[in-house]
Amino acid sequence: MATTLNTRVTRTDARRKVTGAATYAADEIPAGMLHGALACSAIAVGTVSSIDTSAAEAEPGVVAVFTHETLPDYKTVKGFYAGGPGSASFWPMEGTEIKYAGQPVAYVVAETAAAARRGADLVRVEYQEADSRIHMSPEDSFVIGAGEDSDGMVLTKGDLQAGLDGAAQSVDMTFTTPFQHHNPMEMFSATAEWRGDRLTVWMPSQSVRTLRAGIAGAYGLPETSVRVISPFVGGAFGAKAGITPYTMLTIAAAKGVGAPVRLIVTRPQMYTVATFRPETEQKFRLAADADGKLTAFEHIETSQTSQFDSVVNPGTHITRAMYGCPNIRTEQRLSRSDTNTGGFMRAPNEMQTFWGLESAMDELAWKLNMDPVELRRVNDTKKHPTEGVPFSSRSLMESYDAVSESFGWADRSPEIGSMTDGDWLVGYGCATATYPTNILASNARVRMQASGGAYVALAAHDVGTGTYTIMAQIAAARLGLPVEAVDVVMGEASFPVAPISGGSTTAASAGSAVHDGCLKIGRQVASRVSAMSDGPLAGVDPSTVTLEDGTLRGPDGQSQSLAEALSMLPEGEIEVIGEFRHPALTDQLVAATFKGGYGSAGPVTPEFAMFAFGAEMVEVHVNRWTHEIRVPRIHGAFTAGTWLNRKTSHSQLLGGMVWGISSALHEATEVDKARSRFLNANIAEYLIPVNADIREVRVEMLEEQDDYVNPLGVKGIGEMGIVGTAAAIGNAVYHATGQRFTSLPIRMSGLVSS
Amino acid sequence: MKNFSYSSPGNLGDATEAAKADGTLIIAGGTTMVDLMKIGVLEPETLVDISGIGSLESYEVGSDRMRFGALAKMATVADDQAVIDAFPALSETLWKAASPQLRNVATLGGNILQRTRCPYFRDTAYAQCNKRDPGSGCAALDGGETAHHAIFGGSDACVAMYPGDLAQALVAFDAKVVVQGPGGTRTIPFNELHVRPGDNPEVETVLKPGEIVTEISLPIIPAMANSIYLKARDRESYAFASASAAVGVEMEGETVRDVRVGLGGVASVPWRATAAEDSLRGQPLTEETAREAGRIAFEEAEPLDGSAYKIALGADVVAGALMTLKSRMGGK
Repeated sequence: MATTLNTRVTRTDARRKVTGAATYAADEIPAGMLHGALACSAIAVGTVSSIDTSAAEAEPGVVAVFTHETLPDYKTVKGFYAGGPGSASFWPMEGTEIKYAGQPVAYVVAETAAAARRGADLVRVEYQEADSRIHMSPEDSFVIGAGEDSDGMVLTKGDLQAGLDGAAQSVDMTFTTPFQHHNPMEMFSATAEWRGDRLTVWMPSQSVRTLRAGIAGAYGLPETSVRVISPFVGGAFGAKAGITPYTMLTIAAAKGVGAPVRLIVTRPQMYTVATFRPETEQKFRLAADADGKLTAFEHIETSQTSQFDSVVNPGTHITRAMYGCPNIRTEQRLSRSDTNTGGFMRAPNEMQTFWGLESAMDELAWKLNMDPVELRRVNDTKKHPTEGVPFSSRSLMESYDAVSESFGWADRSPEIGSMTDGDWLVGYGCATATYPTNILASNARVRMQASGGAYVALAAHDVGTGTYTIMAQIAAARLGLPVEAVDVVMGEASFPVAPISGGSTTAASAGSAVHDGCLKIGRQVASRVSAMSDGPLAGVDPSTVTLEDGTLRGPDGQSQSLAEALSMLPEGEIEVIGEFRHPALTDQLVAATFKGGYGSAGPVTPEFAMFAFGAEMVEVHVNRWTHEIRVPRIHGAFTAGTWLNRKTSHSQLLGGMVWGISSALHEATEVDKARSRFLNANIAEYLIPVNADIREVRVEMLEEQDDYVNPLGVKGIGEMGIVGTAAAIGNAVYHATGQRFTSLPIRMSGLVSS
Repeated sequence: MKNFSYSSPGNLGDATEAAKADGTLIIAGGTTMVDLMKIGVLEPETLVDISGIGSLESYEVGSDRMRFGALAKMATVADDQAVIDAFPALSETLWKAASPQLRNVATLGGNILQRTRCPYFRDTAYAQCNKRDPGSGCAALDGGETAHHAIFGGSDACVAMYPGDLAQALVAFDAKVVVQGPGGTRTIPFNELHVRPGDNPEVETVLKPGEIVTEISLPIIPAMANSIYLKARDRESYAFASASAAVGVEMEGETVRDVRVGLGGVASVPWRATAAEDSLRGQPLTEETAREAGRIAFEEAEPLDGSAYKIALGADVVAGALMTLKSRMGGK
C-alpha cells in the first residue's frame, strides 16, 4: 500500500475551514437576492381556517407573503419511502391540512432576513384543531409489508420455542429509545435562482444528484437546466439527504417574486421541517445453554412513523447478523403517530437496536454468571446466522481482545457496586459495534498532467468527514503524487455520478471509482508509450504493464514514471472516467444510483456478508449524592478493512462514540403529548455533551484484509462509532448500581427513586 | 424580532427616567433578554441599555459586608480570589451557571432577574401561558410535561421554575439588593425581591417601573467561609439544575451553630429551606442528621407527575452538600 494511504493525513481543507475561507452553500449570494422565512403551524393536526397576512405584508421590507392559496408554481416530489426523492410524502402548503406541529403554513420573502422573520411572526393563522397523538403505541402497530412482499421484515429460522424451552438461562426484555434530532451545526438552507427556465440551487446536501433529478422532474425540465451546488456541508448525519419542503417552497418563492431567494431555516424549525430519528421499542428474547451458546434469538423492533409514510429502517436485519444461533425470529413493526416523517440519523438501523441487543446480551451474561466478553466469544460466528453465507471478513473478537487490553478489562471486579472512587460508584461495561458495508456504483473523473498535478471530480460530498482529503489520497497513492498535488472537486450534480452520502458508502464506493480511474490512466498511458519507437517501455506488451506508486513497470524490469510517460504524449495530460461496479451490483441497482436514488448492494450478497466490527468499553461513575452519571473513560477498537486516513477515520469513530455518550446520557427530543409538539427544539435544552462531559476517548484501529468488498479493501466507518456506546454505558451503570435501564437517555431522575 | 428603539444613558438618573415608560425594558448583559426577544416572548418598544454605567461594575469584599455592583460580570466575580476565600458557595453558583461565553457578558444584577426556562413560556406556539399572556391558562398544568417545573411555591396559575443559581446563595445568606428608581433609592431584602406566581404569574418581582437594581450585598457571617454549591444536572456544564443546594455551616465544637440552605431547581422563586436549617442547629453533623435535614427540606414539596423525582434527588443533594462540608472540615 502506498504511503499516502493508511497514514494520518491532515484535511486538505482544514485551513480554509478554520479561517472561514471555505464557502458553504448559504455563503453564495446571487445578485439581487431576497430572504425567505417560514411561518409554521402552532397545532399538530387540523385545518387552516384562515390566514391573515396583512400585518406581515405591512412590515417594512416584506416583499411577498405566500400561503397555500397564493404560492405560484409550487411543485412537490414523491417521498423516499414511496420510492421518490422527497423527505416525506405529505407536502405542506398544498392545501389547508395540518398533519404535524411546526408544519410550514406561509412563506415570507423580504429584503432582509430580519424583516422576513418578523413578517413570518406576524402571519396570523386560525385553525380548526383535531385530536392528535405524538407518541407511537406498540399496541397499535403493524408488520411492514405483511401479506405482500415481506422483504425480510419477518424472518424465522429454526424453532424459536424449542430454543427457549431447552435453555439454561433466558432474558425477555423491552427497551425504548426517544425521538432524536440531528442538529447539524450548519443550519438547513436553500438558495434558488431562476434565469428563464434555468434554475440554480445552492443547498447543503448529502445528495446533489437526488436533488437535481427530483427538482428537474418536478418542473419538467431537463436535468441539464438545473444546477445543484453543495461545496461544503457543515454536518448532515442523514438530515440533508432528501428533498424537503423548505427547498421546494424556496424554489417556488423565487419564481413567485422573480428574484433569487435564500432561506435559512431557524433552529426550532429544523426540528419539524425535516427528518429525525423516530422513537422505537426493542423487544428481545434471548436464551442460552449453560455454556452461553445462544439457543434462541428473537428481536421485534417497533418504530414510529408518520400518518403518511412508512419509515423502514430495518434494524432487525443488522441484529440478526451478530451472533450464531440455530433458532432466530425477527419482526419489523411500525406504529403511526402525528409527526412529520422521520428518516435516517447516524446509524439509523443500528443505534437503537444495539442499545437493546447489547443490553440484553449483558443481562444474559449476568444470568449465566459469565464475563460478557466471553459471552460474545462463544457466540461469534464466521457465517451469517440467517443467510448462511460467510462473512467476507469478521474481526469482532480481535476487536474485543484489543479493547480489553487497552482498557484493562481484566481489572474489573465483577460484583455489582464493588468498585468505588470516593463518593462515586464505578462500573465497567462493554458492547459490540457493527456497521454493514453497503456498496453503490460510482464514477469519477481523473485527469493527470505531465507537470505532476492531478484533478479528481465527482458528484460526491464532504459532509464534514474528510472526503476531499481521502479522494486526494487515493489518487496520490496510485499516481505517485503528493496529496497536495491532487485537486478534488465535488458537491455539484453535473460532476460524474457518485452515490448519496449515506450508509457510510462514499469512501468505499466513490473511492473505488477514483482508484479505478487511476489504474485506467496507467493502462492508457502504457498503451500509448509502448507503441512509441523510443522510451523505456517502447515495444512492451501494454497488458503486462502495472502501475505502482506512479511508476509504470514492464515485465522485465522496465520502468518509467507516469509523469515522464505523460510528457511524451502530445496532449501532455490524460483524462479518464473511473468506474466502480461491484459484481454484486445488479443492473437495477446501478440504474437506481444513476437516476439519483440509493442503489445499494449489501451487506449480504449471494457470496458474502459484509460488515465492519468493533467493541467498546466504558467506565462510568455515578455520584452517591447527586446521582450524576459521568464517563471518565471510553475505549473502542474497530476493524473495517483498510484504513484510508488514520486521522479522519479516528475522528469519525471518536465523534461517533461521543455521540453515543450523548444518546446514552443526554439526548432526547422531549414532547408535549397533550398538544403533540416538540418541547426542547433548541440546543440549549436539547442536551448534547459539552467538552467537560468527554474525558478520555481512545480509539484503536486494527488492521484487517478484505479483498471482496471493493478493490481498496475499505469498509465504511462513518456510522460505526455510535453503535455500541449506549449499551456499553447502560451495562456499566448496571455494574455500578445494580439498576438496569431499558429506556434512553439514562438520567439521574431514573436513578434516584431506587 | 420586533423593531425597538434603543438608548444607552450614561448615568443612573437618566436611566431610571428613561426606563419608567410603558413598554420599556432594561438590558445589561442581555443573555436572556435578547434570546426572549428573538423568539417573540418579549417585544419591548424601547430598550434602555445600562451596561455603559461604569459605576455599577465595581465590587468589594469588606470586613463585615460584601457588595457587588449590579453590572459586575459573573465571570469576574466567580474568579475573584477574595470572593472564593470569603464565600466559596457564591463563586461556585456563578462558576456552575451557563457557559464561559455567557458568564463573560452576563451581570450579577441581570442574573438574579433571569426568566424561567419553562418551555411553554418560551414557545409562543403554546396558546396557554399565564406568565406570558395573563389569563390564557397554563399548558404545563393542562396535561403538559412537568419534569422541569417547580415543586415549591407554584400556584394553580403557574408552576414555572426560577432557574438561577446565584440566587440560592443570596437567599440563604440574607442578601439585600439596593434599587434606584424615579422615586429614589430603597433597599429590599433578597427574599422579598421575587414574588411567587399566585394569581398573577406575570409579576415576578417587587420592582416598580423604572427601578434598577444597583447593588447586591451580604453580611459576612462565619457559615460563608465553609460553604458549597452542589448542583445536580444532566451534563457537566451548561445545564440548569435538576436540584441544587447552596449550603454553609458554622460549627461550635461538635454541634452545628449556624447553617444555611438555599435550594435551586425546585421552586418558583429563590428558596430557603429554613425548616431543614432549624433541624440541624444545635445538632451534631452526621450522615443521619444530614439526611434528615434533606428529608425535612422537601417535606412540604408539592410535586407534579413529572417532577416527583426532585424530592429524593433534592434531599440527597442537601445531604451531600452537608457531608462534603463536613469532610472539608476534616470530619469535625
